[in-house]
Amino acid sequence: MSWVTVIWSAGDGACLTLALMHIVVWWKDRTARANLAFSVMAIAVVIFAAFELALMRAQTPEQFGEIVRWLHVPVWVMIVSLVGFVRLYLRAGRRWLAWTVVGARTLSLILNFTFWPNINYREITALRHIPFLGESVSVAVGVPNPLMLAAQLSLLLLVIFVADATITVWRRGDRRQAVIVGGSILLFVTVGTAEGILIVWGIISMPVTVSLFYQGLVAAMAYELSYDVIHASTLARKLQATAAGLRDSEERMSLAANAAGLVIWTWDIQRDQVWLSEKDRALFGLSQLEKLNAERVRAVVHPEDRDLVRRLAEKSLTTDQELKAEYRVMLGNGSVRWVTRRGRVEFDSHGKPTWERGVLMDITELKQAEEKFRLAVEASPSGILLVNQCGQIILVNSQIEKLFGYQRDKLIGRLVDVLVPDRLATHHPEHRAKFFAAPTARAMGAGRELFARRKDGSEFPVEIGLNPIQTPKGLVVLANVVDISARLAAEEGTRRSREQVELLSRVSLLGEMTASLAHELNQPLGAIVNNATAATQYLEQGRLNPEQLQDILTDVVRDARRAHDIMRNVRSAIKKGSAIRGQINLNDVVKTITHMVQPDAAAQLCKMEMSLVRDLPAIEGDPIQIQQVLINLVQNAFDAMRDTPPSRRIVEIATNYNGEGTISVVVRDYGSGISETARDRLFEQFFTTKEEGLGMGLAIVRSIVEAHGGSISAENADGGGARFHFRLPIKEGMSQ
Amino acid sequence: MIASTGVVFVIDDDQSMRKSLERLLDAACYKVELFKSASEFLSRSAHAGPSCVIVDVQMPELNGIDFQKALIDCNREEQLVFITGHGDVPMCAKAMKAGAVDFLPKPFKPKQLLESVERALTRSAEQRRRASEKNHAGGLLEQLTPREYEVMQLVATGMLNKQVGGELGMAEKTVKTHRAHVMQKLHITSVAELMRVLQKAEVPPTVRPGTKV
Repeated sequence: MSWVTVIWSAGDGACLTLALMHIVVWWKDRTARANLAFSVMAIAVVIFAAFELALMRAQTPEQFGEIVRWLHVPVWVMIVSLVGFVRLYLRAGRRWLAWTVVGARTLSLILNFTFWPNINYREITALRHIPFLGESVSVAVGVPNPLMLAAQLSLLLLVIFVADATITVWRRGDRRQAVIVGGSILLFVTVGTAEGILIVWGIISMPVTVSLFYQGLVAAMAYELSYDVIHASTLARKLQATAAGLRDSEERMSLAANAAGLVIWTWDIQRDQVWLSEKDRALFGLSQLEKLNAERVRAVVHPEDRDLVRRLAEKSLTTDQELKAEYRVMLGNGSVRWVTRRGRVEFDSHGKPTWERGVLMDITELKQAEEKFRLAVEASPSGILLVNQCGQIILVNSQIEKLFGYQRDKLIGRLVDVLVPDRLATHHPEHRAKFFAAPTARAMGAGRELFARRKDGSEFPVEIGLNPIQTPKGLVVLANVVDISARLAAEEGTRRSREQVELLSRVSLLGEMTASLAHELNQPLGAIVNNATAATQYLEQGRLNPEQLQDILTDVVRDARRAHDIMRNVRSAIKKGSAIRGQINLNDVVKTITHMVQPDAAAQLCKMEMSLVRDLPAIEGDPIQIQQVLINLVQNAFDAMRDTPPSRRIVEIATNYNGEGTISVVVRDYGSGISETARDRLFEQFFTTKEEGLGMGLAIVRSIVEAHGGSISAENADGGGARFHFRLPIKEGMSQ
Repeated sequence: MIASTGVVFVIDDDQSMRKSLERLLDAACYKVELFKSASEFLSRSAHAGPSCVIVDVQMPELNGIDFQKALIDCNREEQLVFITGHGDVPMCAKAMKAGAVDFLPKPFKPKQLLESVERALTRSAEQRRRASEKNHAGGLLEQLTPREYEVMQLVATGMLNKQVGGELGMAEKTVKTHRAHVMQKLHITSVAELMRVLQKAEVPPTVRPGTKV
């Protein structure tokens, strides 16, 4: 066997094997079109080599020309498939250049079949037999066809196309591909073309062996493709591992999702397809086969919430932030559940939204609990506030709205400090910070007097209980607010009536004192009267002797002295009392006693009227005694009006300042007035016009007024009734 | 004026008042005895004749009202005149209800007091008299035999002798005899006089048999 046969056959065999291999690859994976292109080329190379062998064995010039003529068919296939391979495998080369190469080659193929014997020779004159690899082979002698330039032009275009593609690949960084594929194509095509030209133009004398170069090219390409195979198998292994992992994690995820009551969904935005697991489809009553799009899935949303969900979907396409929302969905079994939805959209490199993935979580129980909590909070008789760590109000109940006069939505999100009076608000953030630093429950009413501020700026007293609560969103404080103004008012009322009782008891103590005083005084006075009467009797009976008279008079004097001593003690007690001196505003005293005698006034159907002059200077004295003066005068006025018709029972109290150091107070009644006989003795001790009177009241009044450096007088008023008028000097240095 | 037999007792803790009252009453010709306290008075034996006690309501130890109660408890019937520094209405009402003659707030007029004392002594004397009459009539009635007493009771109801006999199951003649004894023992001659004796002895009237009550 000759070497030529061996080499050509071996090359063909190898090429064929590679071709078949890659056809199989293409057959299994139709996307592997580069492999198809390679196979086609390899087969074309095999056929081309067979034609070369036939040329070497050609017997006549006609036979040689004929073979050359048909040889251009596999060459066309080779070049076209090569162009295809470069485009498909290297993913490079200009499309128009590729089409130009194919066009030029097709043109040369047409020309080849148009001219006889072929595009290479105008005429083959003879065949020469030359030795080649130890064998005698035929070579042509003839006139080359100038049209051969067309074929060579196509090859030149091919080289340019490949060179351009190679540069692209090189620049892209796939340098190995550039060298092996691009480089070998350029090398072998150039060398092959050059050999063909030299042979046809008769410059060298040898048989055509171009197929050998193309076989080399095939080998290089196969080598490159084998990388892909290795790469693919590695990838396959990795893929397998990944797939297993993926399956595993998918299972785990679905387990977790089930356990947590999560529904996992994916929305392919470009194709508008929604993926849900079979179980979840069943949950929502969606059939397993139905293609789901966004609109179809939205049908499971509660009709009232659909708009919200639609708006949410629109918004989600504009942001890569996770969006959350809570709404109701209807399950296949007809029940309505609350869900919270979280989803995030992914965008491709052009900023187009591609996928949205997310979960739905069943929060019905949470919602129900929230609802219960809300109802409980709403039903609370006290105001309830939830405040977060930043001091923002996150929840209020209707009681708070009522207490503070704010609408709910005007409070949520605002700092709780707006509910604190301005004068305290500056320190409130500090208090808040301190509380959060060491949060402990604080019971209602514990701590200081607290005030709150309404929307209109008015303040009211409150009691506040604080309870720190740990929530997933951090520490919040539950504040209970109770308006205690009513309670304080009640307490104030109690306090005042207690005060009144105390004062009245003090006054009645005076009454009691005068009673026991009366008892004490009555003993000597009664004795004097008895003794005097007895003496008169004795005298009348004529049995009064001087000794007896002496006796009686001694007793009378002693008793009179005793009475005098008692009175002196009373006066000095009054004086001693007035040693307690303070600044007194007579207007205040009038107001106080008016308040104190109010129950009495009501019982006696008397009206009290005050006419107080403003800006009264203070006097100095004992406030209790001054009160007693006024109470005494007012009670006298009540007594004087027993017979006055109720409509006229009025006690008028007026204060006045003459600007010269004296304040005068007038108490006027509409009673019986002062009789002629009483007028002169009004302020004397033991003078009384009352049946049960002791005759002490006005005497004491006068003593007190005089002890304060003042004076008192009484007269009948125009229009009926009496007018008591006392004047007191103002405190020194107080005159205007 | 019962001054001759009556005694006025004065109980007052105030010495000068006590002394002045003594003079006043002495000038009015009453016999007077003075006591510093109510208990001192109670330890003295009761006076047989008409008596009046002037007592101050306000006293240390036993006060006037409690003193009055103590007297009643001992069945003593002294007539009381209260005097007081400042008596209130309830106290006064209580004293008067329990039989006080008067309740005088100080300062009282001497004339007022003397009038009250006179009234008290009169009432006391009257009481004495009634008591002695009762004693006397009671003594007479005690002399009657049980049978005579029965007859007397029925006669007092205005029954005829015949009716009395029928009632007591005795002959009219026997009744007449009993009746004569009763009249003799009681020193009376008519049924009208019998009635007076029974009244004085404070014997409750007998209900006539057959009378529907």
